[in-house]
Amino acid sequence: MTTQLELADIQGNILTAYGKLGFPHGRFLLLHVDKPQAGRTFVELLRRRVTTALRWPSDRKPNPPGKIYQRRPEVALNISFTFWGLLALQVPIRTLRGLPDEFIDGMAARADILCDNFPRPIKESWDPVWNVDGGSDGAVHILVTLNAQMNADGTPVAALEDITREISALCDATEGGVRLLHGHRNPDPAWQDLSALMATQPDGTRQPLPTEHFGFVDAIGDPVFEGQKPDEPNAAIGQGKLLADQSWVPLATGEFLLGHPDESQEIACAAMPLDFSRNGTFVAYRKLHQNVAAWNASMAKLAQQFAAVMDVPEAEAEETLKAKMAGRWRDGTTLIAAPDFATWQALREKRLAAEKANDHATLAALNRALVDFTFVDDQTGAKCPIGAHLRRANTRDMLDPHLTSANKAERNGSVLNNRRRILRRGLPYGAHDGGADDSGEHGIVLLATCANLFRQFEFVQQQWMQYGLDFNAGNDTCPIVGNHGAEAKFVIPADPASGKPPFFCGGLPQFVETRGGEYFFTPSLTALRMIATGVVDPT
Amino acid sequence: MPDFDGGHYFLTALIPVRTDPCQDPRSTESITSHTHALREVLASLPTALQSPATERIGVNSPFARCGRTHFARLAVLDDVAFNGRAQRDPIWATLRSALKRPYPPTDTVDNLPCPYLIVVADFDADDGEPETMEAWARDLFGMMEPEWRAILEHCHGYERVTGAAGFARLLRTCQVETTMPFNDYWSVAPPFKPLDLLRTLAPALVGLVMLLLGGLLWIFNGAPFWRYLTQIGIVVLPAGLVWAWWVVMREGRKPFPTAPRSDLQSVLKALYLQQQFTRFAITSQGMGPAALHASFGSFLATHQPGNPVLPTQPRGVVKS
Repeated sequence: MTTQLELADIQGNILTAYGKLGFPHGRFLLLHVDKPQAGRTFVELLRRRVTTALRWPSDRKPNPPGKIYQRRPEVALNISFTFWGLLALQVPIRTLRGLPDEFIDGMAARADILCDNFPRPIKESWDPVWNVDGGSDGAVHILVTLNAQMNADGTPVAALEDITREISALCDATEGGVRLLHGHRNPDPAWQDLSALMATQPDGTRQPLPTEHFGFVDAIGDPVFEGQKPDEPNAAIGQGKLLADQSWVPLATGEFLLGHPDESQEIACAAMPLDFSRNGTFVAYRKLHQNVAAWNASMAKLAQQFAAVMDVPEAEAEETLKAKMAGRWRDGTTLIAAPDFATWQALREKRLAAEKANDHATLAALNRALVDFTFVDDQTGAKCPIGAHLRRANTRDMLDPHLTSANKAERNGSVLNNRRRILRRGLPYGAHDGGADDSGEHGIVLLATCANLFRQFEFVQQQWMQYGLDFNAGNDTCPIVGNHGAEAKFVIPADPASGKPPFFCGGLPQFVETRGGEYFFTPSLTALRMIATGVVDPT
Repeated sequence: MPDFDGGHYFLTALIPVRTDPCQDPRSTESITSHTHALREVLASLPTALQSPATERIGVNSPFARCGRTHFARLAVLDDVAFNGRAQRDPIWATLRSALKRPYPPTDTVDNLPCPYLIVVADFDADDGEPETMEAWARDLFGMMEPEWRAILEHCHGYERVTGAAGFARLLRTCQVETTMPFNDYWSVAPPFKPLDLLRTLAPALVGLVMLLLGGLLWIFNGAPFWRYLTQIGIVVLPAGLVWAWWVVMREGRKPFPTAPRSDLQSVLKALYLQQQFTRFAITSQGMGPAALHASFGSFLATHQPGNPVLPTQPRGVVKS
């Protein structure tokens, strides 16, 4: 018997990314609870609106009449809590003491571990709404995320505004019991607006793009775990875990949902009662500002050097540099599939031709190649540099100590990676206008979702993004999201057979900075009921 | 001899801490324990400079004054930890009860007579002789006498530390064997000579053959020669096994050879050169042959790869 998840008990933003389901707009609201009873009433009124993981039938194939099914919402609503929020809602101390240290600390207290006090301390760089200490008045207690469908002209559906007004009115009705927190650096400081980047079609309509502000197609790789996609037997290929025999299977459910066995084959300790934790998870909210102008300028400058050293045209040099840093070309093609510019161009043409000819088999194979790869044949990083973002974020089989072993039976697959995976949710925010400096608002809000923030999110952030020891790369940080001090560098190894030298990218400016964030607990619908009705019973 | 391995001496010493009351060195009003006062001294000792922030402060560990010490650590051991009750097999427990020899109701909780100061260090050495360790200790005392005095005044035996020689003797008196040294400077396997198993076991095999052959023929033939051969075999076989054991242990006791350039001076120079060469590679990539030649010439002149002494990374700066 495989894992059967109770979809109606799990919040809908855990199992899937709304952006991929036709919700290109988002609005994230933060609330503070002053009066416990008012807070619980607020949660009680909102919880019936929470979007669960139940699947809705596609618009093309309406469900047969007479059958109960989940309608596709115009706006998906989800709700999460900080530690201080749960305390304000009077969740019993005996339950709260079972919550993990890093969650109780909160993200601001972990700023040094997460390397967030760079290039400026978070007290200066974060949006004011995030810079209120946990126990103080105005601290973040509740996160309500709204993910909205869009109209043909690219604007969010009217329901987004309606629900926002409703939530605002709910707060007003509590007469100060629950407050909508202001202090987002956003056109309206009362919330954070998000939107996929858009392209205008020939007919004037707008089409959401899968790219982020640096121009890369984003959100390709995402872990697949047991019970998440029961209808897609091949979903785990390249996205789950790699076994010693080089086959792929889904990761253990407990890596992403509390109360289920995890990769160490145990149900980890959690806040009691088990119903409070089960089917819930933790989320690291990260507002990541992208220095687009600095990125463009730096790439153009490095491309000149790269073009001269490698004797290639500058345009090709710039594309290649970006790909070497990310591990993928702009359109998502991996460096493992296309190690050089010419191969990438050939693959792009192949994709275009297949799209034109409606050749589903070729397209499926190309899409499969976006995620189905390992690093065993690229141990020197000649194709994809060892320090590239892709290899740091998901090391796959790279850290297997027996990777080089001639005896394949000795190999361990992705065992050292399986407990360091995070589900990536979120959307870009701000205008993509390529401004002259980086003082504007443009970036991405990442919701890193996992069962253990310390072991999964914080480890990847600190050890893999902001350090290089596991990759024999010394103090080098991630070339894209890492902190870049005065001596920051990124090494692009060369294939020894090519006769070309390796290339050093020196003088990297800071490309990504945090502008705010917090750790949240996303409870199950059962736990939400217990919190809202004040009946969490830890005994 | 695990105290010495791979060209490094691994010292472990346990110095007993006094248990009588102690005048608080920071206040005339209060009386404290030596353990407490010692911990305060240790806590205020500067550590090595492990980050750019501490490099800017620049207050370095006193051990950085010594050009041979790779690593040193001081800590207070309060007591041995009780490891929990030993496992008991219920069937065996029942049998013991039936035989009126039941398990005692509690396990013994063992304790140390007093707290100990743990002194751990590894340093460059030519051999593992006690005098080698004492020579290092005398040098070290000369470089950080005030710090050692502030530490050792809380320990038994401080009255013997009249000078460097007394300090070295105290360490030797309190030394315990380092049973698991950690030698990290061999990046590849050292050149080992595998043990010739056949040669090692040859005497035991000869004894076995004598025993078997002699025994069989003695049974079927009965000639006294075969009886003598069997009796000799009975002696030679265990003697051969003991000899083989001794050979294996003798080989196992041999220390690892010194890894190439694993003395502190060379390690620091290597770290320095690694960082400088990385910067050189970044600034010189794309240069023409003539410019690269000139630039590398200037690199060699400035950083002197062949000179282990200067320029180099300062001791006590952890940076790579």
